[in-house]
Amino acid sequence: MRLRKAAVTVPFTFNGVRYQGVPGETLAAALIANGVKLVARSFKYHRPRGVMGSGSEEPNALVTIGTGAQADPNVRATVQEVYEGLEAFSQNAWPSVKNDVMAVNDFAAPFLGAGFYYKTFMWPKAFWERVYEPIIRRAAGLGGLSEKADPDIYEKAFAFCDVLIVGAGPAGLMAAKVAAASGADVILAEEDTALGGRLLSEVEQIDGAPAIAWVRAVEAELRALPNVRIMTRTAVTGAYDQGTYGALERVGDFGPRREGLPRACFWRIAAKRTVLCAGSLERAIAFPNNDRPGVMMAGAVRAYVNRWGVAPGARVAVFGNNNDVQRTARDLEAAGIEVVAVLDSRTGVRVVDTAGRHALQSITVQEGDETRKIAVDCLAVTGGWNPTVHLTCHMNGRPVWDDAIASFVPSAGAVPNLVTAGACHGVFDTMGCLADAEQIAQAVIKNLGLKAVRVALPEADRAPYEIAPLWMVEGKGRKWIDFQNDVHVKDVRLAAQENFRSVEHMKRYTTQGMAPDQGKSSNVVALAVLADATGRGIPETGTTTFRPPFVPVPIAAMGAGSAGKGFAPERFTTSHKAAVDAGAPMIEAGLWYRPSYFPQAGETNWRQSCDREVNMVRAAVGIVDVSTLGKIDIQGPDAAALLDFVYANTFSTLKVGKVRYGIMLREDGHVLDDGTTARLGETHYVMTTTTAAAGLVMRHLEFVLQVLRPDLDAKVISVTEQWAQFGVAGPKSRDVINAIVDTPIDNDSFPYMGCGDVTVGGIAARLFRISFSGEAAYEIAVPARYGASLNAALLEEAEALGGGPYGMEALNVLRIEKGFITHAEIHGRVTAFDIGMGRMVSAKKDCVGQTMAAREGLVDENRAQLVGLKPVGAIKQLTAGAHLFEANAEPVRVNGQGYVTSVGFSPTLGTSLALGFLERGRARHGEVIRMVDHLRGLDAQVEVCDPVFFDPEGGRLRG
Amino acid sequence: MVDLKETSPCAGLLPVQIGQTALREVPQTPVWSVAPFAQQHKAVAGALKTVGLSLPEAGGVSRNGEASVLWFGHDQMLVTGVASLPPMPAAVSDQSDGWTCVRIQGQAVDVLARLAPVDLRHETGVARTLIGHMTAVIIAREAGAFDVMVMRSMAKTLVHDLTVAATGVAARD
Repeated sequence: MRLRKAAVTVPFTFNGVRYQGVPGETLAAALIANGVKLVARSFKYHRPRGVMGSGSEEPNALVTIGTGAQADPNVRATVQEVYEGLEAFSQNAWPSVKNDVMAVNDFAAPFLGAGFYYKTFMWPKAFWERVYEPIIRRAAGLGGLSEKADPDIYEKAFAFCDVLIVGAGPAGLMAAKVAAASGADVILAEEDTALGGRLLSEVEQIDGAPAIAWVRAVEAELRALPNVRIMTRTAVTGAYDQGTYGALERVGDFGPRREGLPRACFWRIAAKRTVLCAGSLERAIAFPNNDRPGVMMAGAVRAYVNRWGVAPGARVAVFGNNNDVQRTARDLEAAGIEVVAVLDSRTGVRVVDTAGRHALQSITVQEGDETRKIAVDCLAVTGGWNPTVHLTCHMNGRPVWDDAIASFVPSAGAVPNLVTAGACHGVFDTMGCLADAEQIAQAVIKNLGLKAVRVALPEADRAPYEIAPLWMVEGKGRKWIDFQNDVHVKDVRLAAQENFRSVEHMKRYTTQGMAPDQGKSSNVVALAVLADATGRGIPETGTTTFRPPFVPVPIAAMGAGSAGKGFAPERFTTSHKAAVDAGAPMIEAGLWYRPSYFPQAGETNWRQSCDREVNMVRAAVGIVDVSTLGKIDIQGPDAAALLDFVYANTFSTLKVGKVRYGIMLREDGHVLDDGTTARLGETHYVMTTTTAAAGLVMRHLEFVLQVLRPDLDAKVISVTEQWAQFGVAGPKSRDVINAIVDTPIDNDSFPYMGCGDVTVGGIAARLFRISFSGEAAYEIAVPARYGASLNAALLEEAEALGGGPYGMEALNVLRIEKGFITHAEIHGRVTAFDIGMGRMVSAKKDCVGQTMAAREGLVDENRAQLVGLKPVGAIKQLTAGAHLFEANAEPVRVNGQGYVTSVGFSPTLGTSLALGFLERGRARHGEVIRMVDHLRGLDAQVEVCDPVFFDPEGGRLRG
Repeated sequence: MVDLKETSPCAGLLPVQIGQTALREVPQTPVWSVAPFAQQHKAVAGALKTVGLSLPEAGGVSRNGEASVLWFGHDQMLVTGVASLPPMPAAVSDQSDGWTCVRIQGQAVDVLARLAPVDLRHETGVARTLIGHMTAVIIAREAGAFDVMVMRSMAKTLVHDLTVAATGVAARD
């Protein structure tokens, strides 16, 4: 029932039934206005449950919003705002929330106590995962996922400030006023839609006017300041190292979906100082059957009456242990709602039972020896307030007991540079909160080195709290503590009985305080019951702590921007468009996209294209974009010394205008990378790395220069992206080059492993005579802006000579034919010795990895060594990843002697070829062994041979 | 003779306008990396002075008209807008084509706050940071605009990331 007439209402549905709500009010308020009491079924016992709270602490009223892929499960009805067309659904109930089949669990409750499944479903062991767990999972639970990809947009963002103020109740507003007036850069984060905190829900005066007027005035004042950012609908979810806080801003979930609008934004806020003004959360009292729809927190009842103007009931009783009992009764009466009983436990009165299956119908009250039943449809309960200490626990802080307010308060210094103020600090009257926050904010500002400005304190409510603790009422029936996890007093006592007496063990045994709720309403009651059961005091029992996030955060928000291709950047070469236009399928290599092969008309299989491209390179000329290889510019008086130190072989002896192949080792002696380095000048080199290891090698060089050899005067910088570089390979490669460069070259001016400057159309370019195909080949580099144009020119010349582009597949076959290695071979576990380059590790100088490479185990003759493999039996197919065995050995693990790393079909030699590693392989050329691929079911006879299958003398590449 | 034509990194991607945010490609100008050799900072400063430039502070920029020197990391800077550099005892490399540069104007601070983990509200110099997963250079320009540089090959991802962020910001208006 609404207490005020709403100016505007909009339709929404709950479980398919259409209702009217006021835009912006919470779904919980709208349901109460429409007389809907039964909202949810509980986690384990499927007990009927209704709205209990009025904020993010709500344990019961979790609903699913929307349908299909856009469904959001476990949304608190007390947080979700009503908008036109909102669709909300109950969870964990079938076929309906009223007639829920699984409510049978509730009747089996005596058998389903805490820990029952650990004890019951022990045997047979194999049944746990396949039988018991699926059944239990189906029976218990909250909302489900759609199992479809989430089509919604999420965002993440970064913010920075001097002072982060968490919570905009009276304390937060006062702290913000002080910090803002003192010139600090302030972020005021508030999870609610409006500023004010409890002042939005209480009938109080500040400076003689309704408190809300003061709130609005302060808000207007803060919004006018350039150094204050107010973030509403933003819950600070976690405290992390170095003053970083996570915060979830609800952006689009309070209205219909709008094109481009994110649902939520996950903020990372870096704050120099933080003032936690998170307020406090009301706690329940564990009396028998205290979970019926209609039993609500007293503070929530006041929020619905005072803030939202809806009546949670027509006949309301109030039960509690502090002065809020009278405050609640006063507010209800002022709103014209009948208060049928005011039950102040401080006078000895207790609620000992309730009745009503789908909605509260009556309560049973005991006063002295007398018991009476009172018909009510709502019971407002207050067991006192717990400071919202959650954030102070995120870095292992443990709250401390304060007897005066019978609650835990944050321990000082729990989070570096975070202080608490107001109710969160254990101050429970408005005047006290304002004064506390003013004083705390002054100290924070001074601590920041700013001049703190004094702010006048207004006159506010000083009502005393006066709590006399009451945690539990004995009696028949379950006395619920954790409504979200269906934990009651007996469970906690059982934990103690089973010797799970530590509060942490009790939590895990009963599941109290776990999951989305994190025990917001249940924690202190649970440990009070445990303290009682174990005969200890509460401070001695201690408290469990709280983990982030404070409110549930969609994984989609944390991973915003990283779905699909957002997971990694895409890198494109300057010839990308030409390759795609030519129909080449692109494959990813170290974030780069490279063409696999260039299909021509009539080719239906990649092998046809690949074979043609290999033959083309061997017979005429092929063009390949090699820009993706790392290029590192190295300059300085000690450039040569640096290269000698990082490469296993020597580069100081390399002549200017020459290129040399090199391998570099990791510090542990294994091969890090290979490539060529050209000497462009006396003190100027350019190093080429593999595509995959470009970043790794750059990092390695930086490490060497900064840490291992800071004495070397050499500078390194990546020039990978500056140059578009193309391989021109094949017997007609020189013809293509000479058609491109302004001054023709010949074999004398550019012999094998030569390099130098050339010009192309007047543009300065670099030419290298290097080969990864075994053919006479060049690599030509121009500034990247000319890359697309040079690619087109090279292709035009090549095509005129019977050549054309070739892709990664052909490149791979060409290098396997020549026994050239890639990271398939230098995979991180091989040494120079293993790949037959042991002698390249120069003994005349020191280099990274040299000492470790000389370890006995790394030069053992029995190590697996690089070999070539050719099929010689009936099976002609070879596969990478297959294992090698002696011809007559059983193909089992203990007989394994090696493995295959690279395979390809060689059209040049008309056979499949493979590279691999085989124990004592170099001494076994000519031996026939067995290659078994257990995964693909292949068993082939192969001959061990030299890894260089084609043109072992190298005549072609020098030609 | 071959006539080589230029293609800019963001060709076909820019300009775009999203709500109040405008993205456009900054035309390629000469860019040199300069890393002074050991004990040669004074000599390098002297050489730069001959073209009216000076060494920037860490995180800073020094300018002279269209030319500028950007701090680029430890002992490293980028000199832009100068066709050729005087000889100097430093490692100098041409970086003109290695980067793509996008000017963002309008709600630039809000858009970049969604991609870069740095506070740009009061930035007047240069930040070496991230844009999403990419290493980037962000340079403060006049009137709340910024130049964002990433490696040339990542131009498409840069435009994509900036566009998505700008769309989210614009959708809130």
